[in-house]
Amino acid sequence: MTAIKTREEQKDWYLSQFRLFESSLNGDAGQAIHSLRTAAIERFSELGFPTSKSEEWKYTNLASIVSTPFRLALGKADVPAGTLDGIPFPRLVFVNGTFSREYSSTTAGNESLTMASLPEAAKFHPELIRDFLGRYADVRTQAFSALNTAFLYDGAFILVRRGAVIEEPVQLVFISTDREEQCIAFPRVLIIAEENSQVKIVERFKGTGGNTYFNNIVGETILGPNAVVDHYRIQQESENAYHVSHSHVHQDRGSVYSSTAFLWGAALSRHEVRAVLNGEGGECRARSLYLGKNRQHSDIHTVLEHAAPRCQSHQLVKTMVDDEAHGVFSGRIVVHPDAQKTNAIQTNNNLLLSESAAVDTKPQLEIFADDVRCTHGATIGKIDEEGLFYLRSRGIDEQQARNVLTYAFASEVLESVAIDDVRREMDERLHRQFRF
Amino acid sequence: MDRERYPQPAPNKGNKKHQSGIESFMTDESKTIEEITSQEYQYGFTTDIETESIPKGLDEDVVRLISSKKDEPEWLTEWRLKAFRRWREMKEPTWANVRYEPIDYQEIIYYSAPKLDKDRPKSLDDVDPKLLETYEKLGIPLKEREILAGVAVDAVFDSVSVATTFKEKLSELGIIFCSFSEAVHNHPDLVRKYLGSVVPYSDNFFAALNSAVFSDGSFVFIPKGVRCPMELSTYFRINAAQTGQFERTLIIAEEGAYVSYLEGCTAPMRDENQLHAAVVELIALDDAEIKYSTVQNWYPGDEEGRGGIYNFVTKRGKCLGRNSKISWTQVETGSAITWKYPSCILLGDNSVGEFYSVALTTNYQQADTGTKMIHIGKNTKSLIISKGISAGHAQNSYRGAVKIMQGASGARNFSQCDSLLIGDECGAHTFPYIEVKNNDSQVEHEATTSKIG
Repeated sequence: MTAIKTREEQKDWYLSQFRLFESSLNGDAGQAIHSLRTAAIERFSELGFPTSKSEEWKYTNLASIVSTPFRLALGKADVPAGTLDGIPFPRLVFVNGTFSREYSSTTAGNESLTMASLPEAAKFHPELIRDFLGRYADVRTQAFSALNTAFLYDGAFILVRRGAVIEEPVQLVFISTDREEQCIAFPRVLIIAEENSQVKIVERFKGTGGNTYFNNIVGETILGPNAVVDHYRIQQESENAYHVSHSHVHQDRGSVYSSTAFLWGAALSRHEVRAVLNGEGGECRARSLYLGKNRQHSDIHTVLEHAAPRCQSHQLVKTMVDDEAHGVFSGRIVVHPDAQKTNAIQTNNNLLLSESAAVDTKPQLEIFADDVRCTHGATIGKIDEEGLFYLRSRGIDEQQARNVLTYAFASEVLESVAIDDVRREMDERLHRQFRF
Repeated sequence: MDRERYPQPAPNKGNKKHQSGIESFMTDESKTIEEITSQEYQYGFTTDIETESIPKGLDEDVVRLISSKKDEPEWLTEWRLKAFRRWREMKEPTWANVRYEPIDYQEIIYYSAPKLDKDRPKSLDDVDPKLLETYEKLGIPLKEREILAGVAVDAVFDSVSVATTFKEKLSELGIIFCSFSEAVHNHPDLVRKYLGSVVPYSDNFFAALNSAVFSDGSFVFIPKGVRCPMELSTYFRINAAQTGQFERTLIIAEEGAYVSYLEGCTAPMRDENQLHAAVVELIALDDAEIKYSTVQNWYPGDEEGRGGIYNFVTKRGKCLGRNSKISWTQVETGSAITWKYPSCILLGDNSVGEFYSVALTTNYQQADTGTKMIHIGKNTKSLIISKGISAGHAQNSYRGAVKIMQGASGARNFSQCDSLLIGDECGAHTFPYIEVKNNDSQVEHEATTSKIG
């Protein structure tokens, strides 16, 4: 098929892919989960992909995603040697959206930690899958979440039992291999951290070639009372890939959720975190670092909802755009009427490294409670001239001085990384870019 | 005409509680804020003067009728008609954070003028004493108070200008300060050149409506090199029942000129909501400066949220020349709903835009207000300081945009938006949009929302 032009064609295309998907399910279509899928595809055909008229997508042009007739990623694919080097166990590996037992280690039925693919998890914990899969993903208003749910089959399931403290970080790896066809995959992640449990998760997206593909990801993370989840995302998709990720987080009282994202790859990416602080004394931290080059476009989107009193949220979003890259940030803090004593802080710093780079930012506060302290600050600018002068006056050449200052700008996000290996890896990545 | 009279409410009725114990500075201060936010509207009276109105509703004939009543030249009638046709195709904007019952635009009377039309007053002595009384109540220095007040008043009563003072003194300097209608007749070239040059009739729904039916307004022209020696000031007052008020203001400051303009508003109490859709256009040429200040005190509705003015206003200034400056200052305390974004297009190199705003909403008032700073010229600077106070069941939103276009090297913006909430049933919101396409520019935005103390 050639390019998709109309909304009608768009709908027909995904309906045809859905029928193809349904027929590949071999009898699984009778399960309860399938009604979730059919409702979602219906909703998607009503919604269609968002347009730039939608306030939520104002600065991101989805034309390239919308017009491409992506095919379902089916069949086995080989993973090039070395792709998984340096990624320790325990880990779950997915190749083009499908779980790979070969590269993974699973623990099902373990007392403290369960790591499994979703179909596997459905056998061991049918009640949890029934109760939580699709519960917080907003299918009603988010077209991408609806599309992902329609094609929901594989994905990662992580369950941390009550009181368990998991020391080793859990690794989730989503590999997209180099293929001829333009494929779409629907990775799905369900994380349940029960009361008083603690876990660190590293989620990686890796493209092995330079091909065009589309990863439409939905994550759901549920934190029980006082649970602590430290969640890292390292996005290294191929330079021609599209990556749209919606992460829905639901927090009970006293829980702490940290999201840290490093966005390096993809031609067009959307990193969206929607967290609801639903119990007293919860805390949510969301940090992102985006480095855009060439004609990359990255859209970082957060919605933090304070629905209970005495919660805290901290956001730090740093964007550096070079060449003709475009950075978008939209961050919304919503404080519900009874969420008194809320403390919400949001900081967004943007650095423009070239004449043709652009940044659009939209920090928003919606406050319905009076006893709160909410702030947001946004800056957009170039490298500090005074800092540059200082370094140059000490004999450092201009390019090197610029690199030092750019690195310094970015490294603030690194400081908070609690996993040494991840911090070192990201630090090296930055150094490669800004040699000094 | 509707002759119903509304009693003037006693100020601060039974609201003062005796406070015992230590009264600190803080409690004093918060008491003051409490008093202000719980105060009833003090300017609710209706003046009995005969008003000439046309039937309610809007179509091309009404637009033509308005134009012919004002004896307008053909080009202006055509301009109104183009605006009307455009308006008919437009949809009322829904993006603002305000809720209201849909407006029936066919239920509005689009023209009303004091009936003394044929016999326009030559001096203040000729003005209807009732009208003067109204100004008296409003505390406007309309009589022989030139020196005392130092203010020239171009008073717009409902839709037609009835008195202009200081005209002679100003005209000695070549300054034109008159009603819009007069300007259309006496200075058609200037009006034709600049009308719609900042806010085109197709700009938005309410601006298009205003362009089709505008009744009157003010016109200011400050010639090259002249510094206007006094604050120019206009007081607007919506009066006749069921009458929309559609002013149009046009201020032009030529090279090196300076003017400070003060606009104040009050409206009588009435139960139905009234629509007010004004357009203000400012043009500053090289080295010119325009200071535009507003005290917006339209009737906000009663404690239950009944009645009140819908204030949907388009205000925009164009810094056309190099080193020009436009500064907006607004104090927004009135209206049931405010939809207003005084903006600056910073076209000339080194031009400066400023926006200072205090918006206070109480009871069921809703305000969605802010500014747009569009940096096009090099080394353009803008400053935004906005303070929002929300009490009772009110919703107060700051909505602003800062755009740095690709050619705007050396551009600089700083924005500070603070909100205060009083009580747990109101809301305060901040929606800034920042778009930067030039890497030799600097933009900073800060916002906080907190409670007192």
